[in-house]
Amino acid sequence: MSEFKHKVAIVGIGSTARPGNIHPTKTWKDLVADAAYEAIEDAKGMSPRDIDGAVIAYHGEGVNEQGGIGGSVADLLGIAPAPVFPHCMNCAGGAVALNTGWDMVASGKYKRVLVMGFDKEGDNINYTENINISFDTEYDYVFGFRHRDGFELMSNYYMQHYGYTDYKAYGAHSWQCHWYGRRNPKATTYGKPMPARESLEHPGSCYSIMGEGCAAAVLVPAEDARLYTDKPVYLDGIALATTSHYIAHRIGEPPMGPAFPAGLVREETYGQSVALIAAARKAYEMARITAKDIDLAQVYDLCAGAFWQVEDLGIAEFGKGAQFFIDGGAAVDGRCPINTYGGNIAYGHASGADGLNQVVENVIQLRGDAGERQVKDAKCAVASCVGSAYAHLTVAVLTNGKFQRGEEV
Amino acid sequence: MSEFQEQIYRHTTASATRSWRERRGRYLLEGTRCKKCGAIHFPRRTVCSTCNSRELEPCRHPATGVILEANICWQATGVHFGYGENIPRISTVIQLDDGVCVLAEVTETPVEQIVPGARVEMVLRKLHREGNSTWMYGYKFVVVS
Repeated sequence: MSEFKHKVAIVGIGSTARPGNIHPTKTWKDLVADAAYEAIEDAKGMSPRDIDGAVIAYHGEGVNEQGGIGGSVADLLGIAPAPVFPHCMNCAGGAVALNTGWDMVASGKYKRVLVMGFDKEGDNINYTENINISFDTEYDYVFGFRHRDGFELMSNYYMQHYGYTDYKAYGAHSWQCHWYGRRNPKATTYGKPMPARESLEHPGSCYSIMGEGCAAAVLVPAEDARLYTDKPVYLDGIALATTSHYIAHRIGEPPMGPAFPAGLVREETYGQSVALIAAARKAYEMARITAKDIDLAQVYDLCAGAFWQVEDLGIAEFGKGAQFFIDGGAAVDGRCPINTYGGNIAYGHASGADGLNQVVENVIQLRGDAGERQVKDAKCAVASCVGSAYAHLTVAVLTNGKFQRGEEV
Repeated sequence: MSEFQEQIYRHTTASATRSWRERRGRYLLEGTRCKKCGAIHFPRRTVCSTCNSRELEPCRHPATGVILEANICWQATGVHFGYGENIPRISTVIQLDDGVCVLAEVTETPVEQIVPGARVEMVLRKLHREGNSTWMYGYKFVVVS
């Protein structure tokens, strides 16, 4: 990465527990401060006033009924006059904030950057309605459609296109997420009884537990990392790809224009997210890894989305993603453990925090602090997050000090 | 009085101006055609997504097509524009006969007929009230044999 001024390390992480619950006694500011200060304390020796730049993401102003929050966040955390850049990128927001945080550190302009993502939907009158205005509303929202309809349509398409006739893969995937969630003390389902696997073999078993929460991370240039932690984790690659919000563009007509990724046959990508393939290529190239290097991955699990995401990330072949879950590939001792924090299904889904919750888990895994759900010998972890119904796609590649690139001499 | 339930407070009540502006798209399936490269779009675009030209002309898409994918959702998930608390919620992606894809509801059709491959035809239906209480209309589709 010689073209960038600095390599970037994550030295502090924080998150609020049970993001699948509503937290009625807390304001959004309480949630943000809880996660942000946990992350700052996690970077040992760092004080809040050391933060010289911050990024914060939330689903969208319509969802939180709170706008222009940059100044409020700086004031809340006691870091003013440091700049705080807000992002509204739906569920991918946290990862988009991380992308901006990376830019801020890699450019050399900022030295200690706090990245946050949160959501506080329970304060909202008529949340269901408002979450739907955060897509391209003229021709979907006004007709009564939601993001979820997009996921369901895409999932039906995937299942039919690749010839899956039952919901065994849903059951396997959902059950695996629940298994991880029962082993993550911050998960919404932690301490709850395990569902029977057969009871999950239906299309309703792969939905997010929606709720509220915040996640945060502290980024510094890699050369400073050892000042704040003994176990630095490096953010080697991160990319955001965008495409149309309009759900009908997902099926049959990918509106990628001339930027359609090279080497792909359009017909072969039906059932896939072309923009996610583009994001993964970019992030892998930046991190100089290939899909074979990935030890574990966090993906955005809504409906059948996890199936084609592992395909787009290169972990499974096109059409083999569902089978990958049926075969136990996502288990902690499987071929490539997926969603080791529990995913949206069992960890909980606080929209703006989601992309960062994935990254927080990858940091925990790469530090070797994941306890019962620890992936053995984890050195390279990937997170892919989705905003709206596959309009914003992020891929982040994290490694620890033990990772060695195959092609390096 | 309408047969629809009274709408509860919405943060996002659409203005009548906004729906009026898109009336040709909603009533006539009017999108755009690029004068430079010939690409057709729906919904209408301001910039051609293929060649970036800004020279676009209105293009009325055919009112018939085929269902590419369908979803029937039996879960009531609160008040939505156009749906209210009516279930099932039926969402489909329809490929019109000129190739463009539209996200639309299929109505007045037995659910077992709402499957990929079924031929459909556009109909105009009442959707919901606008901010000044006028009714907004728009396309839905019915399966034709």
